[in-house]
Amino acid sequence: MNFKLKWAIYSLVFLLVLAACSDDDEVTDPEQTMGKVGNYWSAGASGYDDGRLTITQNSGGDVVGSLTFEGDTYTVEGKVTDNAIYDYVYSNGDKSKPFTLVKFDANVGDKWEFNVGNQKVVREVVRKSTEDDVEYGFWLVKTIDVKETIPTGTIIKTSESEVKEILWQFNHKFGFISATIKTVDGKTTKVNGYSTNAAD
Amino acid sequence: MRALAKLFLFTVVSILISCNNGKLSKKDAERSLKVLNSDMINFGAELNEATEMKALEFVMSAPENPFPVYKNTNRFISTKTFDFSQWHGIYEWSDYEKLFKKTGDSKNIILQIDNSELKDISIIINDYQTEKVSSGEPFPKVCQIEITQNKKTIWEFDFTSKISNNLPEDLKLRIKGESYQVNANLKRTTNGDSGKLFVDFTFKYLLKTLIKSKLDCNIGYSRQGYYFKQLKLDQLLFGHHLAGDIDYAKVDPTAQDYAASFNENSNLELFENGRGKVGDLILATVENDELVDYHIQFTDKSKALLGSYLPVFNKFINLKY
Repeated sequence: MNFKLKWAIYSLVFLLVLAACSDDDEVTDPEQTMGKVGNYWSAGASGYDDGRLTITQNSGGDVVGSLTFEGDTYTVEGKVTDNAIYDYVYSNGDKSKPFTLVKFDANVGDKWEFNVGNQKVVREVVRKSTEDDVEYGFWLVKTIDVKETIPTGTIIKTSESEVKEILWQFNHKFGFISATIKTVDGKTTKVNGYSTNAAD
Repeated sequence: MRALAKLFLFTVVSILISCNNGKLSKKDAERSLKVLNSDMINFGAELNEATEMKALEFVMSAPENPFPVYKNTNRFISTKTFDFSQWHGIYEWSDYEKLFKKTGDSKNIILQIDNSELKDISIIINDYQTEKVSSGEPFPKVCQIEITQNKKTIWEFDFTSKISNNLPEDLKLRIKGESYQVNANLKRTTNGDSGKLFVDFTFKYLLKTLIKSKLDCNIGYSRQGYYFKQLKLDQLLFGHHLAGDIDYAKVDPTAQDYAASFNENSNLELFENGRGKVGDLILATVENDELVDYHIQFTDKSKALLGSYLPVFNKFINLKY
């Protein structure tokens, strides 16, 4: 698998794990969100080395994380509140233009859209657990599932996205649970979170 | 005498009308767009027929090729991790084995093709160096390629870049074919968290400038690289001229009416040189208001999908160069 695709998959996953940003009434105090400095998430997928993201800074909900993956370290950022995760992937880091990844009080059918030129990236809540029904480590947890649809040719970090769809699963305590990623060339990879201290 | 005065007046009025600043009627604007589309198609077709383009297409499609670029899934060109010194040598295309076979040593890379479609062609990579940029990918610092046919140079490609803070800061590109010449420059500056980005591009065919683009952008820096705040565009495209600006900082990508947000903060006008304004480029909804796409708004305020007049523009946009 080429570097670009690996990077795309892991950076997308972790950028979004981080994200949580801010309607005005949302709490951004790091002590009350999963964006606390020192919080980490580890994840793995078949065919890839495991990756780990650790939050290194949090200023008013704006978080910076250090992502280690296949021997390299990358810096990623987003915003985390008590109820939501936002990211700056499609604005290429422009913090005035956050994009909602998930709101934990959203309902099935709720959508968030981000336009780039004549293209529209859509994130839609497609399922919400009513009971603990998704495996996470040794537990069963509730998840809110968000399907992200990326039009062909969408530019991310100056290159065309090699990913066309991501099905995200989040839990309000643990944060990232999994991401099922479909690439433009038809491959599907599932990245599973297996460890975090976010709920400690 | 009065006849002369009338003639003079008629001439002046004619010149003034033909010298533009007028607005084309919808009918004339439609004709103008068709001419532009035709010019672009003919241009593309002619370029594709050039020997060097066929040679490049051939080598990029070849498996396991000692060549630093390839065509990606959208038929656009991407760079790959490529160690120039490791591939030094002379390679000959084997029609039988369908691959380039190393046949000799060299201080550069020479790819020789001689088959029914490409006669006595050599693609010579004289230099290729890369440096990692913020995305983690290698970005070309130097790329010098030459194509010869029957030992005569028919194409030259010369690219240099300067990388700073893991981002391209200065790019220079020169391409010379037998009948055309391309020059492109990019310069990026930094002032704290902000900066400027200048791009100019010229395509000359037989000394006539067919395409000339200038971009003047205000940018902001982030950990991911940079993003656009404001953009000024000035583009000569065959007999047409597209000019205007976009205030991206004010465009809300998450707005419920994104097209309105884009249009309120942009001003893109298309002119036919010497005749007048064809219309404004705007975003408007299509397909039951679900998607937005580029439209041309004629001077009578009616609008139509730009791609219906310029299918080649659609193709270009879809390629996402």
